[in-house]
Amino acid sequence: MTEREFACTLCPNSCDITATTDGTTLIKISGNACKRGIKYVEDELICPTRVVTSSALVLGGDELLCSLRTTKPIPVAYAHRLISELKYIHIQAPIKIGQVIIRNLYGSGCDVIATRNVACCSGKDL
Amino acid sequence: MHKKVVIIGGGPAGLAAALELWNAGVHNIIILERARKLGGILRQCIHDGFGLHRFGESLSGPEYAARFVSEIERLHIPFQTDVTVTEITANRCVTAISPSGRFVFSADAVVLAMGCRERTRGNLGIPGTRPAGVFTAGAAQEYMNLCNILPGRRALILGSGDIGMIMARRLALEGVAVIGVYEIMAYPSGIRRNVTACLNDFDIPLVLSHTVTEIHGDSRLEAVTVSEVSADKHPIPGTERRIKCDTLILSVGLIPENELSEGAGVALDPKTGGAFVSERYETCVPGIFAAGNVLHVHDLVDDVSLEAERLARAVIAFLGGERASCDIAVTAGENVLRIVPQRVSGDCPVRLSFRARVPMGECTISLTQNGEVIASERFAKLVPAEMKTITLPKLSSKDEIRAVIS
Repeated sequence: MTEREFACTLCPNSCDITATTDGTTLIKISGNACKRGIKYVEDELICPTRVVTSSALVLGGDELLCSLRTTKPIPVAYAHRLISELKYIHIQAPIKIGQVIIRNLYGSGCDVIATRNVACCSGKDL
Repeated sequence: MHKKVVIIGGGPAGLAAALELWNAGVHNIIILERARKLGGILRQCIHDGFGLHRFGESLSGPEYAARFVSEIERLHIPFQTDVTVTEITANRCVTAISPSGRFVFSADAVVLAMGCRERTRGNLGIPGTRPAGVFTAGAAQEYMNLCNILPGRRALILGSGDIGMIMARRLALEGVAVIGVYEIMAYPSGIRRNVTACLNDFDIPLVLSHTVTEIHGDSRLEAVTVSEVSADKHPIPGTERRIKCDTLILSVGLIPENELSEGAGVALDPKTGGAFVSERYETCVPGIFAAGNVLHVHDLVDDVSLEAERLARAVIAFLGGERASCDIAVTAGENVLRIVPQRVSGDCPVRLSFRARVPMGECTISLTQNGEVIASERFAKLVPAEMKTITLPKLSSKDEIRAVIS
């Protein structure tokens, strides 16, 4: 059995959680202000997940880049792979917030969506 | 040109204030924004975590800004981008320049919503040469997230402020070797969830009680010297280590941007770097109001929006001829780094925002008047990185209010 400290990332409260664990099993928990903290620590023990944010190049838009994010947290281990794949993606303007850029990422049921509205290039300097 | 309200800055504070004013029927207003688009710093903050309080979901910066900008556009609230305010006077004349010329607005009320600036190498006075490759975290963020420019290949980050940690992750994800985040204090200066999600996840070391003591390199940064620091933050001789890097990212604090305010005669609180304001968010100059990061640096944009909305309601009261005499001083006492607003009327409850001076375990903030506790609140922990609030009730005496944490 080991004791581990966690800073919950789910909300700005950033609860300092102390958890006693046996490998990937949670035995005792304290410091969490809400029950989401329990789920957070359980997930951290088995497979930490995060929302991944990045950007991709825009074609014909009034911005060079369009920012993106996953609609759900994905395993941290997939973050690097996703970011390197985004280097090969170009998105044609106009782009609307919420527009799906990659559907069902790695079969996870989670999408990558645009998080910036990008209009077509008006010809003005960027 | 006469306006009822001129709002300086089209970031989160300015946008929220404008919407609140418009929705209350104050339509003769204008937002003046220096950049080419509305949204302020949120435009380059592509990470998520914004809006948890306000919208109950985790949005990226551009999404959070768009919630406000779409409303501004839908309602046709007047704004002008690419315009820089060059002067505000005490009688509320606002001079601005833009590619299409010079404008002068006279306003019944001026809202200061200019946000803050980053501290730079110059503010720290780091010795050494002056090569390229030394960036503030926000500048690096703009290069990466708006301009598609990678600032370097091998980066060291000085300061564990939130933007520093977020940039450490951003750089690591884009393939930059991030050597570590070096922090002069003995504890991280950003919020704790960022230590987990930005540093631990990517095995980026957080090196506490260290600072950069020399910068090396000719045209481009070649290395920095880092040193351990003593409890009083002085570098300890003999602990110097030279670390090769081509990029140094500084995340060493933010300063409210008040050059314009000072020109109008607005008095600043040395503790916040922002204006002294009343519970109405009015500065010492009548009709000039301030909210958001120009008033005091916030951790969460949600709080900036809320503060700007409270400001807007006070501006509406001011425009309606209401004048409150706010002459009860609120001061930061023991273990309180700063507290805002600094003047209250005592006629109504006021929400005060404060920060602890040092990290504290279980503790209580007390608001005292003549040594008597007026209000108090317990906290399981307080850290300087996290702003908290406490409500000051209606008062029966006009004596000074002191906030202390014990």
